[in-house]
Amino acid sequence: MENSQSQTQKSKLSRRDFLKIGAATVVAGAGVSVVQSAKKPVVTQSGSLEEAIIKTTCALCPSGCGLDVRVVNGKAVKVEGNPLHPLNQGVCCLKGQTALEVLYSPERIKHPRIQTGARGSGDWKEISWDEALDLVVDKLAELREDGKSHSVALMHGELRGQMRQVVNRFMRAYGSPNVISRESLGEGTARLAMWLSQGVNTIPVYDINNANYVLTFGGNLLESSRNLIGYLSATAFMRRGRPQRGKLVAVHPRLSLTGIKADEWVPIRPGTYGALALGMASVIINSKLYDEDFVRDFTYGFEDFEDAESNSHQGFKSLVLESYTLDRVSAITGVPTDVIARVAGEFATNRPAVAVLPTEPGELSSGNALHTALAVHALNALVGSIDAQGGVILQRFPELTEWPAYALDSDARKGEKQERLDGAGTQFPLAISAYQNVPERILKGKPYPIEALFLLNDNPVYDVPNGGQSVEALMKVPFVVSFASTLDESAAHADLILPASTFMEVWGDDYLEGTGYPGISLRRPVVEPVHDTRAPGDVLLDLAQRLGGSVGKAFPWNSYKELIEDRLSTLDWEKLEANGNWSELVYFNAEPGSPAWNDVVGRDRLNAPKDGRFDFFSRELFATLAPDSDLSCLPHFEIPTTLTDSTADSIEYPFLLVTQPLITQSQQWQGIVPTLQESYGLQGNVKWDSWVEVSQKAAEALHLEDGERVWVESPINRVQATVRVYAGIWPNAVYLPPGQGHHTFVRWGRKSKENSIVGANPNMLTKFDSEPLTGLAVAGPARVRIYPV
Amino acid sequence: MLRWGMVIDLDKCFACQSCTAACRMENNTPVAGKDQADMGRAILWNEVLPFVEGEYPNVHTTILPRPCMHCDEPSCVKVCPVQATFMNEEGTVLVNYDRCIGCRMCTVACPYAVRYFNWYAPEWPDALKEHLNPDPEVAPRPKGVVEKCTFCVQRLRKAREEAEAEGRTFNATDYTPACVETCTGRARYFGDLNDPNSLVSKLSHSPRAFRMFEELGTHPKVYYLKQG
Amino acid sequence: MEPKNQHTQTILAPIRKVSKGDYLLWGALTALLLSGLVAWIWQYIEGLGITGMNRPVYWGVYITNFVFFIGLAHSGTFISAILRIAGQSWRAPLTRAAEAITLFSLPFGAGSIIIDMGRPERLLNLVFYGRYQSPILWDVTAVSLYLLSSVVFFYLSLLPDIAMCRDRLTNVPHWQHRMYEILALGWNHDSEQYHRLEKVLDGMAVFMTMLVVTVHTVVSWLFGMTVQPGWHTALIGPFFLLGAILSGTAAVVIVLALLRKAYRLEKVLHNGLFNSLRKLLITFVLGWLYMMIAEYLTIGYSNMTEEMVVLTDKFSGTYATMFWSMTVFVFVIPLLIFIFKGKNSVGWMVFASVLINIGMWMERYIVIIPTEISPRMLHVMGQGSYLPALPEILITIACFAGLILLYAVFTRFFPIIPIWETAEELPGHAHSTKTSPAPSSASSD
Ligand SMILES: Nc1nc2c(c(=O)[nH]1)N[C@H]1C(S)=C(S)[C@@H](COP(=O)(O)OP(=O)(O)OC[C@H]3O[C@@H](n4cnc5c(=O)[nH]c(N)nc54)[C@H](O)[C@@H]3O)O[C@H]1N2
Ligand SMILES: Nc1nc2c(c(=O)[nH]1)N[C@H]1C(S)=C(S)[C@@H](COP(=O)(O)OP(=O)(O)OC[C@H]3O[C@@H](n4cnc5c(=O)[nH]c(N)nc54)[C@H](O)[C@@H]3O)O[C@H]1N2
Ligand code: SF4
Ligand code: SF4
Ligand code: SF4
Ligand code: SF4
Ligand code: SF4
Ligand SMILES: [Mo]
Repeated sequence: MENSQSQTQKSKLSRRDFLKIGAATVVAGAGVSVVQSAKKPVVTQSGSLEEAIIKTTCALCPSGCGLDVRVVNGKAVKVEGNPLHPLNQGVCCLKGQTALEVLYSPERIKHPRIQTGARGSGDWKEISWDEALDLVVDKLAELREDGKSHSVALMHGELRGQMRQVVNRFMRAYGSPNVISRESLGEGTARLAMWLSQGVNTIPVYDINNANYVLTFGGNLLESSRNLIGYLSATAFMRRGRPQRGKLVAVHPRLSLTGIKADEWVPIRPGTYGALALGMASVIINSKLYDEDFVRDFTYGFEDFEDAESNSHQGFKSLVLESYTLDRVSAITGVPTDVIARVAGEFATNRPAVAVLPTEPGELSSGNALHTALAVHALNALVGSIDAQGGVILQRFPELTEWPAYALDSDARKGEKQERLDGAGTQFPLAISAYQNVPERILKGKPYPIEALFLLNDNPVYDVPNGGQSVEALMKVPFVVSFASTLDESAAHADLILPASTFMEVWGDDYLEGTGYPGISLRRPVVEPVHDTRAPGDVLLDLAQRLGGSVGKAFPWNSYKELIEDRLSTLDWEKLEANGNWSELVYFNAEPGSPAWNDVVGRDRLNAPKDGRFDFFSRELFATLAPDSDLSCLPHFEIPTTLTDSTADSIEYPFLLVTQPLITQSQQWQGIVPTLQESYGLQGNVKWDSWVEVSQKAAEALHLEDGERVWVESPINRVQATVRVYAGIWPNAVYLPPGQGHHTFVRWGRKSKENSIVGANPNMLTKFDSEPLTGLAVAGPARVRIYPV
Repeated sequence: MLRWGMVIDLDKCFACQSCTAACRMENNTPVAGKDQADMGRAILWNEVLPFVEGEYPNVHTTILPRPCMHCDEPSCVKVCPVQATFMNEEGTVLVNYDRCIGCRMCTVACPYAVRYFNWYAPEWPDALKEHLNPDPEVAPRPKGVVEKCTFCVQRLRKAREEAEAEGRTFNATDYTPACVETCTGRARYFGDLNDPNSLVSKLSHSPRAFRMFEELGTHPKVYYLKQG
Repeated sequence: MEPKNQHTQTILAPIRKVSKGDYLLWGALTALLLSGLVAWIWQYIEGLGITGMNRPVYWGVYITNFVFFIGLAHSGTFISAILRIAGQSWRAPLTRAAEAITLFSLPFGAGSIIIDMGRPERLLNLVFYGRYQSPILWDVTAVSLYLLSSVVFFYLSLLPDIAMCRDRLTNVPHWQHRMYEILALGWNHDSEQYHRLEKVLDGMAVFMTMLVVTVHTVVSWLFGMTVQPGWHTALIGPFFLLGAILSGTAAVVIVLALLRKAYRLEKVLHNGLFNSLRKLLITFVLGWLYMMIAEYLTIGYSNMTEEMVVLTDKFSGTYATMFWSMTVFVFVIPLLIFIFKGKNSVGWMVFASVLINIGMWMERYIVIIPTEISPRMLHVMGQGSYLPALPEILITIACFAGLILLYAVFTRFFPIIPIWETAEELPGHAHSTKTSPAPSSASSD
């Protein structure tokens, strides 16, 4: 996040900006509302109603759109998109629309509370913030005194803006290396792939506005992308806002909304995108449709080559031509050869073209996640779509005020050197985190016993249940503190809950991501906290003050708001407040070979040359692994054991489980937002429930009727769901939506049962392992069978 | 005379259902809950309807966001025995919740299935009542009456008041319903169909334009633009 | 001077005393009626949500009952008005029994509409804001007119008999006698009175006949005026009408058989009547079959998408069992019985008539629900579904119980066979053409 880059590239620049896109949309006719709501008076006085529009930043998905919240008499009553926000330009997705149901949810935890009975018993006592913080400080101080500061761990989910550094700083100053991000379940794959090929450590951004051909490999562009609204409006623009209509092709085992709304859906056997991407590469290379100049001048490892020590190595070209022939790829992926050839041809000849990778390897990460992502990104290099208009561009970040230096005392220095709990950097050399590995390591007491665990926006019991292992791990840690806002399944096993305010009640910030250009979005309270809750940022600052010493000194701010103001003081604060965001609105594409180019290719390499060459053959991997075979440095595809159809497992559990976020699903809040539940499953018209999609073929074979209740059973567990016979699914795959089955008991609707759990959690079916090198989660695809209840 | 109408471009609609949610949050339609939703009693004035056709792998799915069509020849108005549902001078079809006797003739007669009945008195958990829109037009409807999309009349009233307060003449583009304002694909257009220069009236004459069940003679004022 | 009727004693016999059995029956029926009332109050407090109705099935058994009861009501008018005009003098002994069905089922028909309303307390809005484009208003008007004229028609034809009760039943309780005195309106069997009465009734019969046709056609237009598949057909009016007359006539058969048994009226309600009804029923069943074929063939042959969804649902889908049982109940079995067994067999006739009425109720249900389940807009998304819930069942039962209760009570206080109309001689004229010769020789079966 801190890779703030200067925008002073001198070379030939091409620029476009948000205003231009905005203007184009006005031409296309949808700008009406944008212009109009911009004119809304900020405060009006109509009758006795005191009305205001307050700008803040959404946190219901990783996009971070700008919101205009209508506040009447101190109550937030309606959310709109902020028309002055570059990401969403006045519109707002359905999750954003339901933000108020989060804010005013009856399921929220209203005071700090401590578990009085056994953990998980549900006997809680409400206590004051002072009491709660004292408890925490006593514990932390005690552990630090005993030289066990490293035995404190903090697991976190999505953290926004400065929060990530605040957390890292806190833990580092306190003396623990154990800040464990959930990233290894999600965005880690794309980030690693970018780094190992292109040499930059960021998540890719796709310039859909200018693309003529968009090919998504499972990435659910129109439902769950990380700049959701940006990509939605860009796709609309690509279709109807400009003279030439672009084409969107979605490759996925399940016909998601992206597939439905794409110009073409290419069904594929689950987990085999890597092979398809390589097969397409082979077609493109074979027919000489690739960008020969770009590949020759700005890539590495395309042809077979000799290294400095005159060892010969295989290049990408000969690998794909030899190993990824149409017939073989078709056999692996189940996509007909003519479709592969046609789509590959279209991709290469309708430039600018861009191949979109999923940010999440998800449940299908069958151990191939990294190489799949490398293969997909290789397609972008083949057609010269690296930092080009209509291709993959890079997210830039604004220059903010330097963090004040702070000194580590001896305790902190000692703690910092300890091995990480999750094995990142040790067990998994390339990993930034290995979230799913934590429960097992805690249970094994490896590398040392954990004495205290903090959960921040995080719910391992739900995400990686691993057959009860996560619960056991929590139970084994003597002191567990959760910042949960609702009684999620992990918080239920905590000792202490320090309830977090929701994003509508706190100060904070968010980086603008997904546009390329640098920017910051401001988060500010739209209403007074509804309950006796605090922002986790403020709580950490408070804890630091109470701990004092070097920890206290690392945090010279009185409040999180002050911290934000301080960090963002380089920006035009007035503009930030008035518009709800600040950004440069201009993206400069780097011309290959120009000075700016080295900033987009190779910048973050550690062990490989920063020579502005895109690595088909990953020199970074080569340096790290010193491998015997070239294959491990080239994008390739190994058929995972779970996919082979002749093992005993595959006969007993004939179906492959696909899950994939829905647009109607909000990562953290699914359990408690009624309106999301009431529009949950669009294709099958399912509300307030989980369903399992089975193909027509499978339904016939198993004599399953639409609407029937069934068990979906994997070797480790089973869950119930309602059958939906769906034409849009790979015949031997089944789909379960993620995000359901939360234990934040929902009591919605008339006379509904007191504690109703909505739907089922598909993660229960999965055994989460880790990729040996990257620490990324290996989650399947789980094999399942289905039978009536 | 103004004649409000809407155009929805199916090529730019991505089935995101933001319109559905925006409509609920703006118009205070109650949460139905699982049992009621399972009976089809969820009240979503602007449902997004999927029409899945074909067999694997040649599946063709049409997604249709469906507000009230505000028909010029509305079946609902025709059959209402007490004139509880009516068309106002600007062509918007509304329901007088104080007069409706709950006979549900209109729900049965509307070919577009856009009318919803309050089977029970609407309910929210107390905490959630905080976020209800305080505009008087959208006060929660009592049990036993029919309700539906109103083209967000409260917004029209407010836009007019605002124009008046600012001493300017009201302009058709001052008024945007909630679903149009939030539409992520910018697929929805709203405006005066009587003004030949308005965007909606131009789009309604596009060769891609069509209306649902045109053959029924209801003359909807909601137009769709074909996909592709 | 009273009319001369050899059966006067037989006819008045049931009125002389109310038996224990009666009280038991009345009590049971009242209990059922009350349980329906409780259900309705419950529904009024909670909302229609406690029924099985939903979206898209906005109308369920209440509307089915409405159509059914209005149909049942046609029996009376048919027998007394239409046959009166047609000069079918054999009908005389049946008229009152049939008209009573009309009179007592109409309130439950009309009531069903009120029960079905989301806001019954706003009923008067129909008067304040009534709007004549709406088929509901047509219904309200037609049904209230029908109810009103039926009451008048019924009361007028009852007048001379009330007077006879007043004159003859002297040992009944005081209040009952007083009631006869008041209701008889000073009728004194004056020949001029009879003359005028006949004239008025003849006139009204024409009017009532028109009403009958109108009412049920209008009832059908509740559906037919919408553009929904399965309803939007010009045939729906005649179809409904014929169905109504069929179920009404079958109901008369049932009622007659019961009265005959319970009140020992075999002499008055002789077998010949059943035979005449049998012939009528054969005609109606065949007519109705003809309508059905015409209707379904037109729809099926044209193969229009939305229409076919509904049609296949009836023929081979969710409602196939109900549809085909209905055809067996209404058409196959009754026709076989009427042709081969029904002659001179009251038992078989009753059996067939019960089947016809069950079938006709199902027919109403099948006309209403399948169309709703597959409305144009939603049928592609999978079907809706509907099953009546407890309150609907209780209320439906209560309606039938109420109808029977009114009937049973009425027959204990008023002669159910019109004495004056079946009299051999009326004061002032000998109009043997109009009265049935009521053969005293007719044996019971
Ligand atoms: N509406 C909504 N939006 C969201 C979220 C949400 O819950 N709701 N969640 C947010 C979060 S936290 C995330 S992480 C993102 C996720 O957003 P996306 O990255 O779009 O995630 P998915 O749609 O799950 O796509 C993951 C796909 O990767 C494919 N895949 C399978 N195996 C492999 C493999 O071996 N390698 C690779 N590279 N890919 C494979 C699978 O087809 C799988 O469907 O969405 C974010 N946006
Ligand atoms: N089957 C399947 N499983 C998946 C995935 C998939 O695609 N398919 N995706 C995976 C991915 S990428 C992810 S990111 C995870 C998401 O997994 P989720 O279970 O959706 O995790 P969250 O709910 O985001 O975070 C946990 C808890 O953090 C708390 N919380 C949330 N927001 C806030 C806040 O603002 N303040 C405070 N204090 N607390 C908050 C809430 O109590 C919440 O329960 O799911 C993973 N699991
Ligand atoms: S896309 Fe994400 S950030 Fe934007 S409004 Fe929707 S939920 Fe909020
Ligand atoms: S769509 Fe239905 S409710 Fe709306 S105006 Fe037309 S008939 Fe009436
Ligand atoms: S339900 Fe209400 S609005 Fe609809 S027709 Fe009846 S009275 Fe009119
Ligand atoms: S116009 Fe208003 S009422 Fe109608 S669907 Fe849109 S938001 Fe709902
Ligand atoms: S908000 Fe717009 S894009 Fe989304 S479903 Fe509605 S019409 Fe389609
Ligand atoms: Mo994620």
